[in-house]
Amino acid sequence: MRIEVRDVSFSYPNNLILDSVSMTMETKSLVCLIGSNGMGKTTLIDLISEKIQPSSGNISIQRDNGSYVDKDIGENLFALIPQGIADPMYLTVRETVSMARFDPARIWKMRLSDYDEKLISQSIELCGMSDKQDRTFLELSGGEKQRVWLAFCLAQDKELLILDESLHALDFSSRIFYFQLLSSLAESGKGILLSTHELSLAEKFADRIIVVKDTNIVYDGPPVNELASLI
Amino acid sequence: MIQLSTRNPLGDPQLFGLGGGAAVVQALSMAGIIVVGPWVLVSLSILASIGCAFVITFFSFKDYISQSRLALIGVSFSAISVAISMSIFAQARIFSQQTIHFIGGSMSNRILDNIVPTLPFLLVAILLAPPIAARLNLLSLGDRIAYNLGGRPGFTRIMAMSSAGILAGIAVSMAGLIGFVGLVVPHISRLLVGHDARAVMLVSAPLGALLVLYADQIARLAFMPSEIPVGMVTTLVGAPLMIFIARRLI
Repeated sequence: MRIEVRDVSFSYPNNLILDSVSMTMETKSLVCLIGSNGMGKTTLIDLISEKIQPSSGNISIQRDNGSYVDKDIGENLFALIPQGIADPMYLTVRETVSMARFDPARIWKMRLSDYDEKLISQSIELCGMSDKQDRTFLELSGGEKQRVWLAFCLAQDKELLILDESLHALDFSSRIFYFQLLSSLAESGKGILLSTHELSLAEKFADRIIVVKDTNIVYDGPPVNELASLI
Repeated sequence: MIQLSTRNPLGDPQLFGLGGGAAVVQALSMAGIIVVGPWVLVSLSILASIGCAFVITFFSFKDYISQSRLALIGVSFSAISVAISMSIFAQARIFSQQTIHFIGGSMSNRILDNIVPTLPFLLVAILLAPPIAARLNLLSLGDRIAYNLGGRPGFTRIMAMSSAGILAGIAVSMAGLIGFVGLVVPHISRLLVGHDARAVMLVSAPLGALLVLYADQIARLAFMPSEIPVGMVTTLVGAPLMIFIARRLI
């Protein structure tokens, strides 16, 4: 699967955020979106995740067999962690992750299938939260919450993951754990777009880095060492 | 429905102004300003209540419906409707037993015939609930994620507010302003059956009825032969329960 952003511009009245930006991302890769605050990272992610519509240009998703995804069907092809996500009221770790397997169309199907339960357990385990799955969000640290959200994304079993600045609450060792996890997930076939300020770890773990600055993409390619000067 | 669609544990039809329209209509009727039959009165109450739900939702809509905006506007509407009802009572000089029972909530002198006009509305409100029950669960994760998972947050919230509006209208027109039931019962249900909105809704309905029924028994029997408003009892029982739950959960 492949996301293609072609000549996309976005502006608020009198405020150009993105100016004719193009990029692609494929499955089986970890792409890090780097840039200072206010440079358009979140706007780009909001555009890709269809929260907002581009002022011009278009964004398409192509399947592996070459056909394009019809967005009107409303089929969601990616799991998303938006910026500034709020803790769910009352829910435990497992209940939160279980929501990922939730089918809104099936109103009174109270129980999840064995397959769903297995996927939920696997996702929680992969993110290292198995021993805390019955805790509520109030009892978790910032880093643990991020891992729960990642497990929530994984349990959706989508090929594409879009994560917007989901590292801000983590200490250094947690960040390394997080990047290692994302890197191994990408190797196993997921396409991950991660918006982050963590340049040094991105250089180490990412397959590709995209630097956004002043309404444009100023770098798009494999990790190299001179990126800090571009930001 | 209100607690989940506003993502606010304080969600309560009274507190969020949904019963407000109905309260004003009832006040007008008691003051003798509108004189209509029971069917029309119940219909008017429910329409006013739905109207309130829609106005609150409408004012909450700015790009999207924000939960905190919905809560703040709902509370303001609630205050306005109480103020209007009180003014109507004061203007008409009818601080009688009947008005006290309306403000406090009471089921005295209600017979089965009184309920008949509410039944069709009750049916509609109940039919609105199942299609959104599952989606209400997703709303607890926030609108962005709910949308991404196919939860249709805006639609879900409007349906929930409509259904809650109808139910609040019915309750207020039948029994006056009974406090705390809508607030405390869903929390008790959650302690009993967990957090699935569908289970909570299924359990809350009979649990709420049960609480009001026994509160009414107490209200009738505690100070025989006089009867105290049932809302006083539900509040006196509900508030300590709420304090206990709040300390346990939050």
